[in-house]
Formats: sequence, C-alpha cells, structure tokens
Amino acid sequence: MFSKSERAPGEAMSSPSEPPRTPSTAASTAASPSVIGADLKITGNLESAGDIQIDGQVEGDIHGRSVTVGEGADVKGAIIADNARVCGTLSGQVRASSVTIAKTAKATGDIIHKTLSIEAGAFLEGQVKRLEAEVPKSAAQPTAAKPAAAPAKAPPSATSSNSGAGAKPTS
Amino acid sequence: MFAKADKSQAVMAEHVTALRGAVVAADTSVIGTDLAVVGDVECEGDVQIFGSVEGDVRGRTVIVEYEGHVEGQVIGQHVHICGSVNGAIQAADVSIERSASVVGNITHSALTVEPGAYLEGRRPWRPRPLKTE
Repeated sequence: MFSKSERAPGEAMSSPSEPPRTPSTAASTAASPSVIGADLKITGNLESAGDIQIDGQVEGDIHGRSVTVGEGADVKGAIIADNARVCGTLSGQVRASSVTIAKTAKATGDIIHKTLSIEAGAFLEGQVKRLEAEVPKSAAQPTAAKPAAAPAKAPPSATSSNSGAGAKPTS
Repeated sequence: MFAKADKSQAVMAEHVTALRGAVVAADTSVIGTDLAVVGDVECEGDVQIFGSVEGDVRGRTVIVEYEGHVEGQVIGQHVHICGSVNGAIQAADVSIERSASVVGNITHSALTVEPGAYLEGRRPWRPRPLKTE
C-alpha cells in the first residue's frame, strides 16, 4: 500500500496496477444511499440528508429523506422522512409525506402521512392519520414549503398506542 | 434505487478488497456521507463509514473512509482508517493511511501506518488472537 504514497490525501487514486478507488471521492458517494446491512445492529439514532436502506436492526429513531426498511429488517423506533417504505418489521411511529407499507411488512405503531399506500397482506397495527399540514421535516431537508406551523401540530409520539388496532385498510 | 445500491455495494466491496486484500462479502454495510449515527454500531460483517458515528463501532472489517469520522472506539479484526477517529482502536490488523487522524490508543497485533498520518496515543502490541471485547 505504500506504493500509493505519491498521491495527495483524499485524491482519487487509480494507478494501473490496482482497481479504481472511486468510492473514496465525495462525488461518487454523495448520491449513494447508506446501507445498514443484514448483519449490522445500530443502537442509537440515525440522521441522514439522503437515502437510507435498512436491512439490519436499528434501535432508535431514523431521520432521512428516503428511508426503506427492507424485508429482513427490524426497526424499533420512529421513522421521520419524506418517503418511507416499510417491507420488514417496524415497531414505532412513521411520519412521512409518502408512506408505503409492503405486503411483507409487520408494522406496529402510528402512521402519519400525506400519501399512504398499503399492500394487501401487510400487518398493520396502530392509528393511521393523515397530516394536512406539512410533515415536519427531517432537519436535513430544508424544503420549507410551510415550515412554521408544522411541528406544533405533530401529535405526541405514541408508538405503543394500539387504540386503532384492527385497522386493515386496503389502500 | 436498489440497482444503484447493489452497484455501489459491489464497487465498495471491490474497493475494500483492493485496500486490505481481505475477503469481503457483498453485504457490506455503508454509513453514507450524509448519515450521522448517534449510538453504537455492531456488525458481524463489514462496515464502511463515510459519514459520522458518535459511538462505538464493532465489526469484522471496519473501514473509516476519508470523510468518515468516528467519535468512539473502533473494534474489529481488520480496521482501516483514512478518516478521523477520536477513540481507541482494537484490531488484529490495523492500517492507517496518511490522510488519517487518530487520537487514542491503538491495540493491535499488526499495525501499518503510512507516513503523514496523525497519531496521538499509545500503540500497544498484543499477540493474536486479539481479544476484542
């Protein structure tokens, strides 16, 4: 590895003898989503300005632009995003402009949304509410359409509230 | 989006292999540049950090990339640092690139440091297998 010592730190390096190391440059990583692999467990909160794909376990809240909970994933905590797609196990509140619950999902907790889609076969336990006002943004997404009133209207987080149990919407 | 994820993972896996000569599974976990984790990260496989982690990181192979930052311990079998770590490192194989900054003790059984890296702390050697708990 010392043969590489000619280059400046942080510079993309691609000497003929080795494969290109493009991932190290900001340009190529900015667009790529963060991936929490199946064998990864995070105890704590995640905050992202971009996309997060979760296939592992997360115990904590997730803020992001687009959050996908994969089929084998297990999330205990709230998801606050612009787009949220749940295919795996989720125990906690979902608050997003656009929420998709796939048929493989097992979601326990309230869903606060502007656009909701639930596939037939999805397990869903919790209240489903439509948010008229702007969904409170993840701090990283400064779209600021109607910024002022949003946070105050947010209901208290009640991830274990099962009062709406039995809701089995078809769409 | 998933096609992109697969592609970037493959590229990164190749990248990791190129870096460490280690066998890397395709299911590398990636903490992206725009992701900040406040809490501990535990992984049986490989984890690549472009963003920031405020907490301990455990994995088989842990790579802290150029823009990556860890505020906490890094514990693994193979640890490769290009970014900054403020905390102790414990691994059998530790390699530190010149762009790296490490403040904390590095417990290792094989350590590689490129000239130019900033290191602060003790670097005790331990025989293999290194106890990482």
